[in-house]
Amino acid sequence: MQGLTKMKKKQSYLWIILAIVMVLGVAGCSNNDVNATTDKPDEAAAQAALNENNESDRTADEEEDDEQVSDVADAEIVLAGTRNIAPGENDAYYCSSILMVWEPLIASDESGAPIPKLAASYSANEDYTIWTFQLKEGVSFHDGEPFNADAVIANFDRMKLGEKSSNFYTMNIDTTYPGLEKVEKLSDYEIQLVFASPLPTLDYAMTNFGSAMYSPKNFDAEGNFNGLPMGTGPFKLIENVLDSYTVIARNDDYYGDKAQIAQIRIKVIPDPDTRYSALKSGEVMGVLDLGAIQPVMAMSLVETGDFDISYTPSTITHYIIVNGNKFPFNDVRMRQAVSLLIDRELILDSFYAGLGYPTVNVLNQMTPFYEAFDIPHDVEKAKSLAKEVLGDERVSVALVLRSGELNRYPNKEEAELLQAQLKEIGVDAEITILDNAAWSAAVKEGEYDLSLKIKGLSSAEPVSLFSSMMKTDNSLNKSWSFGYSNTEVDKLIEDVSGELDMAKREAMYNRLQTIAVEELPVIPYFNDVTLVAFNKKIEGYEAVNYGVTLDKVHWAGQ
Amino acid sequence: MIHYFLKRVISLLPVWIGITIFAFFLGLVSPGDPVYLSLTRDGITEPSEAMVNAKRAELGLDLPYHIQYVNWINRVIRGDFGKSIYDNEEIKAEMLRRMPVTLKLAFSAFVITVVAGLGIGAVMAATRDTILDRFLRQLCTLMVSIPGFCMAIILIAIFSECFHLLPTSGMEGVKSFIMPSLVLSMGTIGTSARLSRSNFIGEISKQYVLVASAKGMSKSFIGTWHIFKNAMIPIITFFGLYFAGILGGSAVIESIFALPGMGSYVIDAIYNRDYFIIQAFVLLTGTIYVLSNLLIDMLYFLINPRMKQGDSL
Repeated sequence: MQGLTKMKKKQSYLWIILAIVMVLGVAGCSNNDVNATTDKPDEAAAQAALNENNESDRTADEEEDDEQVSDVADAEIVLAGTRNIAPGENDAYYCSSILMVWEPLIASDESGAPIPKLAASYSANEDYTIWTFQLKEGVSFHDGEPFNADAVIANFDRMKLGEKSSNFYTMNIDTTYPGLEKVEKLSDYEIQLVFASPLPTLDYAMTNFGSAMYSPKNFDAEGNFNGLPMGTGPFKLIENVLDSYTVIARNDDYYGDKAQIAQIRIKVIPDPDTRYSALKSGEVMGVLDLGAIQPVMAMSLVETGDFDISYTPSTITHYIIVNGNKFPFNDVRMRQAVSLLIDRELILDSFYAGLGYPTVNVLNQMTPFYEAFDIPHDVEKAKSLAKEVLGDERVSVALVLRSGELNRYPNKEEAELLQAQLKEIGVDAEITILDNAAWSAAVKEGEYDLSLKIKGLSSAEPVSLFSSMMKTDNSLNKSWSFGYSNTEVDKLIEDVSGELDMAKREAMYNRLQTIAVEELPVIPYFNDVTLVAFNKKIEGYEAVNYGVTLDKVHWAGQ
Repeated sequence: MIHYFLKRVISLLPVWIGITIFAFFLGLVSPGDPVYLSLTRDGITEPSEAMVNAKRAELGLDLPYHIQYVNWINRVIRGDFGKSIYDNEEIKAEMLRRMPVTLKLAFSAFVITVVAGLGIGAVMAATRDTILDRFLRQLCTLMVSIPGFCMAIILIAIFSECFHLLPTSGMEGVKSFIMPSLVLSMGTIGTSARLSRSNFIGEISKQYVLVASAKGMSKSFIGTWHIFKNAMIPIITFFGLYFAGILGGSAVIESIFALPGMGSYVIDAIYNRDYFIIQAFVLLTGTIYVLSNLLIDMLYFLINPRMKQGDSL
């Protein structure tokens, strides 16, 4: 009997312990750290307000009013991105250029052409084997280190340690600076790059990610970052919680026009529907980065009257890629038929709210070498061409979509429209959605006929794009099974790299574009835009080629 | 007790070894090349065959499968899960960073499920065949029927977009876990409530309840100390396995609510065929399942004195 009582007591304790654990668990769910960080902006704003209001001859009320205005003006703006915009120490750049934390020697203008940034100016010798860069003076990194020739050399030394991967652009000195023999310091603010062979368009390759500069004290022995990134940009990265948010603050020592807002927080919200809800609920003031918002969602926000959008041409081109290694798309007439059949304007109007630029050119418009071509839409001619190939037979093809694209683009709807249109030329397409890995394997093995895919232009110098997509048995031409081969194209691609005369170079690029339009190794259908949506409570939020004008963003009316 | 515990641990060892083999080969059979995906992750670079082969050799992925397995087990035993193929980040460090998020989510969902599931079950049993019972049964069916992602969208629309009460996503303290926990627990509340109801009703009709009542014990005492405890045994199994299941099943919810937990980590790894992460995750969740089973067995032992060593469980 006594044993039974003891057993009952034990069991009672067990239930009590279980109850306590549950209660503690619930209590433990609260996250005081995060609350603490969300309080920081207010403190920062208050501090900034105090610093700015130090005029002793004003009344207390006036000072209080000013503090309140300053508080509002400097209150943190919260934005949302689609992915980790600052992947951290092991990424080649730590963070995207969108954050304006680091700056390159050479940037690009609105057309994609190179312009000096941290380099005050630059020039090349006659045969383009020696490039000389004059550096901007009076610039310092966020850790106080001066930007000078030694800093540039330290960055080149880091690049020489080997290829560094990145979510944005792979850092590879052999790709960006092929044949680089030495980096010489001519003076404190002048450096020289010496190459084994001519590089007439080096400045194009150096734009943005190609020549990112960081403090020489910012790297460990392996060339990874040893802490937060120390660039020279108008914003300092002050806090980074991977997969959650990144906080940037105004660099008050910036040499150029200072950022208008004291602090910006960029939350990571990968799900497009959640991002849309966050914007709509006022939780975030704007969205940014690739595929920030689908056009249809953006337009629905605009209709509410509380939101606005901004867009500008981007480096992204949308392609219908085709398996040129097998029937029916190994016949150029079938590729031409598809290109003539699709109504590019209809696609843009139906699925992209008209935001985009129809094209038949394999080359994106964000390069000075871009050539505009007529965009024919002729269903009867398409039918006629298809009939030449198929006769009176119908053919079944696999239209394979990549799941990774579906969160950003209405590819499924586009595919369904394409499926319906293809029936007119005797092609019955079956749509399949594969995850990214399976898609890559399928297109590499040639287990597809058609697919929809985007591709970004890595540099305004387009040789790598032509080489990748059109050179025989090379790169994407091979791994996406285009099966494209043209000896004239191969020769043009080989010759253009060494062509020093820019007029001749341009003519060669024009010829490549013309051939691509005629033979269609891939079927381009439109050039995308960088589209952002934002709450009208903020101003100065304008889309640029890659990102937004973060340095111009401020609260409306401030 | 110790003997029983050791016996159970030894019997679970082959299961654990089976999990390691399953975890290892699961990734390898899926189509897709993680090395190629890793080298093309910027969406611009297109590696040559030589670059892909060099990277594959560097990672040891060119070795025969059985050697890869032995190498992997050797590392795992030392607590080293290696680095991600995709982004070269330490897997162990990443898991340690993410695990607390998933545990918080799992624990809060678990508490909601236990409280609501048992509570609703008890109410239904106590009001058996009344209008309230019928209403709650329909409610349980509804909760089981609505898919999690659909419920997530509904809750975000109501609590974030309309009333601005809760954040849509992210980690902003306890309020960030309310919607994800609710979504994660909703379906299971329905199931556990119905399970609890049938167990409570089954116990109520047993002989010992009548005897206890005849002895003059109060209804509340009988309910708390006899019916509840006896009815809990099968429910504990359900909840134990549910808790282990959340750790692997919270992926979609974590993605929707932008919670950087284990689920979203492994989903990305699956997309990128990052074998090393998938293997580590399957091994971890498999181990948690094994340990959960062990814990449940031990709880049986503690709760029910009639279950002695060697009894079938």
